[in-house]
Amino acid sequence: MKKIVDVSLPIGPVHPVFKEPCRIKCVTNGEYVTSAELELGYVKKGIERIMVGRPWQEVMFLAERVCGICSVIHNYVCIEGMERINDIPVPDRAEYLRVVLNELDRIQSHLLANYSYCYTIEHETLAMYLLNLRETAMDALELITGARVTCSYIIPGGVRFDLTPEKENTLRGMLDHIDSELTRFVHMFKGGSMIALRSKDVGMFTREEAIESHSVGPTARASNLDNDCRLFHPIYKKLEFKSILLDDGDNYSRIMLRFLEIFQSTKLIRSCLAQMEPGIIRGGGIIGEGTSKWSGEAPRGELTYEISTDEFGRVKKISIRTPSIMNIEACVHYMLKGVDSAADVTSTYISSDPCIACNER
Amino acid sequence: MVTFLYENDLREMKLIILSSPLHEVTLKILCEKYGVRRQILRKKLMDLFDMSLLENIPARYEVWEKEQTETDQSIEHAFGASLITRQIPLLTEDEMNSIIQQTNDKISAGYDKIPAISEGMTMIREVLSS
Amino acid sequence: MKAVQDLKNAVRSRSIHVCYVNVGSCNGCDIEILACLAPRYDIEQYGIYVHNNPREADILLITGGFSPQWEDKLKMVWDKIPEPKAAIAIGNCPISGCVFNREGTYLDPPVSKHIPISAEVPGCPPRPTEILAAVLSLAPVIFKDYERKDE
Repeated sequence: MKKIVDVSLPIGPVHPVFKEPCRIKCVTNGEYVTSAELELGYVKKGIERIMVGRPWQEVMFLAERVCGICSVIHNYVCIEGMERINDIPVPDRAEYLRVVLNELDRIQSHLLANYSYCYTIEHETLAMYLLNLRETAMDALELITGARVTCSYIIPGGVRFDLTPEKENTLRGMLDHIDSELTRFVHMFKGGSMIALRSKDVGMFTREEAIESHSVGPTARASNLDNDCRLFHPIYKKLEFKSILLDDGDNYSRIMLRFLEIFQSTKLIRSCLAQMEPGIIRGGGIIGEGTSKWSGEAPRGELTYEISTDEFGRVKKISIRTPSIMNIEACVHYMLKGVDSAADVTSTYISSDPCIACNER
Repeated sequence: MVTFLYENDLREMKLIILSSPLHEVTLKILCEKYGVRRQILRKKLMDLFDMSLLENIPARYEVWEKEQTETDQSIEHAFGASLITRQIPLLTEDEMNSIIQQTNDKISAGYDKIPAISEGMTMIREVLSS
Repeated sequence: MKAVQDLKNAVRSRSIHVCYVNVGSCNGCDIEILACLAPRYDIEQYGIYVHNNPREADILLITGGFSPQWEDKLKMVWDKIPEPKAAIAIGNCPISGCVFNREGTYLDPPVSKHIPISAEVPGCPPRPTEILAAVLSLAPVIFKDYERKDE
């Protein structure tokens, strides 16, 4: 729809701070943003339509390619959903290995999100530190699965590779490295007045707005709305998972929450490694007819797969609800409203960790 | 006269968003609730909403669904007032309030509740198809 | 004019500005390009700078199979890049469409239908080192003695 306004500030689709193409149209009064709109459609792939009619062996690889940043969780939720159709049992060790991989993926995704934020507010030093630390997490992923981005590690009835004791030791070393380095960076972020002050009270997002727009993940948890799917997941219950909540709802608390969740993830991985017992990792299983709906906690929030298959395990109908759909909407319609300057528009937008590829599928 | 530099016709992309499986389900429920034809509702949605809000329609509907209780007998509940003004803002607050006001007046004037609500629904339908 | 050309060659070999455009990928290739920026790979030691601004770019990195929304816009981005310029396709998608080139898709690969592609880096996604190697090996071919190519 075409609107005629005083000052309209379009940002994108190709813009130095955007990792992905999208277009934000801000209606501004001076530099004060009164409302904003988002234009998508630059990366629409129609992946749900491609999946229909294909066997599960193909769909599990397609699911990974919905989003390249959080590919592990797409694989995880898709496979767990399919396992629910036929009640395929999963060995204990495989369950723990899945959690290890999922948390490593969360670490790298959160580090990337915080890198983007620091890069957007032009604090390149901290950004580069964080991006370098992310390589450690990527190395850990590669160590376990053999690939950096599209791992396809999780399969129905287990995982593909075991974690040998030598690799486990290396992984522990990497986790210690991440913890010690990140403590330093968090201190830099907290103490650096140029960084922290620039982020506080910018892009306010209240709890009521979070409920109204059904926002999920760190974006909602920074506004004190707890809807972490890991609370209901059987294996996370064994690990005594508790979600972290902050209640300011500004850019600072969103970034801070991601930092805290990285520490939590390394702790979860350590307790997984401690609880894990040697055993088989792959039970096998074939998917038959049925429907299921399953949610999991992606780095950005709740991810839901609704799958229905026919007797040969071909997908009849699939619908994917990714966390970015809710978070980007919340960001554009609630956080950007009332932002004071054009420089804060991009930083607020990046602070909600948008992923357009997820959003459009 | 304001001319936009890169303004494109977005209707095609918006229709693609509205034809995803989750949207089909939600739109079907909305159409049945308000008795509008699907194409008319789609047109209204495409005119009013930007693309991120269109993507978020199923999630927002779910929020409203969770808030509702079975025993709620109020007129607002019957109209889904908060659904079409807050969650999926098809009507403005004023339009909705005036419809509720008129219905309330009819009921207090001795009119039966069920026909009054169905007349209110007709008013909503008129706004939706306009 | 050989001295001037030599000077130009020397400068150009140490200042390759890169712009990346995502025309419908899954993000996997984009984050591998971003990973090149990390101090681990340190793209700037080779004189490559990522600005993501077409007007000062020399090399355009394209990820993703082609989404119809880009029909006019990619051409516009390509026209804004000053000569000499080159485009590199990163990943399988711009080359063939990869997993997305099936029935039901909205994409329209390959990208070479729309703008000329000079080099292709296959992989789903390719490793950061492969992307770096591709940029470094393409740059001399395009930029060396550019003004004297017609002679």
